[in-house]
Amino acid sequence: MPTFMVETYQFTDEHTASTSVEQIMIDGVTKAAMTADGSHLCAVTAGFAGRPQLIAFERNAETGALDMVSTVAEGSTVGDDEVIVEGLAQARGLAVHTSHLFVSSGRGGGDTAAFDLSDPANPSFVGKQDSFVPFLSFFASCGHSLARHDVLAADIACRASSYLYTVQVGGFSSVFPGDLLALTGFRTDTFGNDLPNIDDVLSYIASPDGRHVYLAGLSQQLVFFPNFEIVESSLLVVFERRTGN
Amino acid sequence: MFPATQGVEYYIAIASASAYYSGTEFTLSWVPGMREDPDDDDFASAQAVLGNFAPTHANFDLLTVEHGEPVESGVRTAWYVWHQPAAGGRYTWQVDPGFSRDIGDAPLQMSVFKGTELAALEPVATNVAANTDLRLAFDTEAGESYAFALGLPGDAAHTSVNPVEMVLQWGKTPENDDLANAIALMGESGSVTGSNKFATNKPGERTGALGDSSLWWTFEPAESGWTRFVVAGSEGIKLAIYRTGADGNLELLHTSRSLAPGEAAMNFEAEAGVRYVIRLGSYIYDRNGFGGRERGPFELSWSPASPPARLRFVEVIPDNQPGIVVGSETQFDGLGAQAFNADGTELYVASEFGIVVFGRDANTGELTSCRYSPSSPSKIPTSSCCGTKRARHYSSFPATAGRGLPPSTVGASSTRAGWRAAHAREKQC
Repeated sequence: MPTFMVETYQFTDEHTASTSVEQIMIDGVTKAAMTADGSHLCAVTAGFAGRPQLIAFERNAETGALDMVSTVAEGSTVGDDEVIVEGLAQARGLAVHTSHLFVSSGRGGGDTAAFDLSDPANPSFVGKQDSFVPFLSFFASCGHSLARHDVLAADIACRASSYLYTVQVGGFSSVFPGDLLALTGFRTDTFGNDLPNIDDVLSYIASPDGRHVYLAGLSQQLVFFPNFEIVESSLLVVFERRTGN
Repeated sequence: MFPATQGVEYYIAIASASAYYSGTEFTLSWVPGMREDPDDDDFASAQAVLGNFAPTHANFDLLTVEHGEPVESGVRTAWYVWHQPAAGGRYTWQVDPGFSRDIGDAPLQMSVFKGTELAALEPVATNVAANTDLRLAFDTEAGESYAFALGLPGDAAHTSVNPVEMVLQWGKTPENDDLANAIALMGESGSVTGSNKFATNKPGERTGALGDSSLWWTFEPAESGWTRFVVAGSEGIKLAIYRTGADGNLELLHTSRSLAPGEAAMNFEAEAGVRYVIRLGSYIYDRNGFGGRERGPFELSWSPASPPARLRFVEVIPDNQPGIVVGSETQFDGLGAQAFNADGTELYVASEFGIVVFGRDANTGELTSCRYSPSSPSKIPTSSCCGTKRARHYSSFPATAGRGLPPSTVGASSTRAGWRAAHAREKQC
């Protein structure tokens, strides 16, 4: 298992230089994300003997140094009901909500696990939603994951795929599908608007106010004249985040 | 060919299938003949069926109407007899066409009769539908014998119908097969299980995209709030929710979305004290290959839910769009990472030509203007058309234009203008 490093730097007050604070060596870190308040760092690792782990670090606000405070391993049991933790394997993306962490994992990152961060030092497994994308290509990687803050949800896009989807937490089934948009074949969103044709998602970002998401994508088309070739076009697509109707 | 009875006077009519073929000359001749394989063509040799299914073969081109058949049986009929061994109740009979989905355009007719003598058959129910959608529900009596005729409607003008291998299936009709017998779902959350394998549709009921073989429930929440219904079952399963409109008729509010094979979900904002109607149906394979393979068991669950998180499409900014940059087209090949300034009024997008800076309307989210970062003024695309993705110049050619765009954004004038501009640049290069 390759060893990866979480390295912490501290900028000067003028942001003109940085100095290394510390280096933490961890086996197989695949993704890491800071909690919304900056007090903790959550990292997903490939773990020992194929058991991926979610590791919580406490962050020293003054120095930036990290102190490992807890781990949650895939396959372990939590709570009185002995719920089995799942959804950490093959993690591709992390999205941090103010109170929850979303982990895109599984084949192509199409599954979504959720952890409660009410106590950020001890992330608590909530549940896992299996992939509900009709077709996730072999090359797909659902690493573009953006948490919402008005609702317990994350908007997720996949590289080498033509789907956007939303996963929510709450209610009877704990983690469940919210929305699914197919960006191929001139489909529509749930409001009836025609959607552009996109074959690959290059980047995905939410506006600072959280109201919109912006997708940089690539559309491919076969052209027969004057030459037979595949032509790629770049697109920027804007979506409004809606809750309810 | 038909089995003629001695001493009976028959009337022979000759007609064309439609006015399109009328006026054809003909010769009418007749000879004694024998049916190649009468099988279950006659009532007396009806196939006795047991259990809850019966495979059968039917060649409607060879089946006949015998003397004395009730008019309700239709024509070209095969006969089956079923003895109701159970305690009675409402039963559904249906045809599973298996792989014989295409028998031509002919509809099938299934009729059921009470009695054991052809001359004394008492019609119970009849239905006409395509072979993939033929079902018949009727009330049965314990210990009674029922005769089934499977054939074509009397007015079917189909000269030839493909022979079919089918399976007749029957079972108890679900209790909530129609709206009048809808079952009340109680509590703010819960689940029920069942099967719509032997559910039917009422005449005039909307099916199509809502699916057929419907089951019905009512739901009257005690408190207002978002509720989520999820059904897991066979592929093609669907949900719809209604409320009673001002005219007393059902008003469709929402339909479910299929988010996984055999699973559909539906969120809606329920008002306390309002009686909603939930309908479950199955969308079975159509001629375009959409839908599921079969109806069957399901689990329907409901629970309070968060308001659904959705994404609404606002706009697309395509590469090569004229007008955003004054005096030239916007080109941003090789897009990469994006970032916002602190107040969200500017979006920075890495591109092959440098950082593209878009203005943003915070209210609508639309990108209002575009410029290149001052750090890369010499790399703007209008001065570097040579050798950079030559093929992409043709992305605006009218024959293929807009594959990447929603139809509403593809204007003929802009695409042709883009194509001409691309050609002009290429000539210069």
